[in-house]
Amino acid sequence: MNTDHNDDQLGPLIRRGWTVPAQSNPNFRTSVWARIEAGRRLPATWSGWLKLNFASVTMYAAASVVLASAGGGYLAASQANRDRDQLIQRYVTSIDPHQRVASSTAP
Amino acid sequence: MKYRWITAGIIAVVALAAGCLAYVCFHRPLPDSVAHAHDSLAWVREEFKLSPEKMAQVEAMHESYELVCADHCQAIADSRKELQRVRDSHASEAEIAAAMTRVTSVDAQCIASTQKHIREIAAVIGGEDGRRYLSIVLPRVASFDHSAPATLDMQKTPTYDGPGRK
Repeated sequence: MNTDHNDDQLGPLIRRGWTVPAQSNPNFRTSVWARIEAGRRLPATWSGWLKLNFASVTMYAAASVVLASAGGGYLAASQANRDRDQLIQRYVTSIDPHQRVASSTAP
Repeated sequence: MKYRWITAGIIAVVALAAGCLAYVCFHRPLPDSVAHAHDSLAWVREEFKLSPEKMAQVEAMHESYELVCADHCQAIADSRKELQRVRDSHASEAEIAAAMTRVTSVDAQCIASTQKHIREIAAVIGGEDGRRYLSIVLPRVASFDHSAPATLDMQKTPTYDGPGRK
């Protein structure tokens, strides 16, 4: 590898072979200003942000409330079923001598 | 970004509150008198909301049957003990067979007696509720493992796993 920094041929070689094709971006200026504008529009308060995102926030809130309510209802129903089942078993044990003997001798 | 987290937190709190509210609304807690007392008729009382006359009749029948049931319990225990004694004493095959026949006979008698009592209670309850009572209680008695060879210490386990099982 040639590490001579004063190589006389390097300059002309680079000028000849290294060309960077210029690509114009006509939207560059617009997009820069759009980003600056978007930053300026960010609401300074939470209520302002909420107004800006009202639809999505409402959707998430409604879905969460519905799911949580369904979960709460399900828990309550299964608890009630367990309680009822326990009462039924208590009654059946009181009238079935086999179950009574079994439950009285169970460890 | 921080507004998003604040909003998520508030939604979580609201959802939690809604879940708790739904639980409270749908939960039917048992009255303390039912939940803690050893009142075996609590289920009949809570489930069928019988008239005071019918409930009094059911209570009287239940009370008198409890004495019968206690006798059956004693008979079951005695027959099992006798079978164990005969087996432990290496008695003859005939004696063991006789003791086993006695156990089977006592079992059958107790099951028949229990089912008769259940049908009598269903008749007192009457109508659709009576049929519902039968459909709940009979399978639990019928599906209990009465017929399998019992261990001599009576360690039988209920095999009930739903009203559809016969």
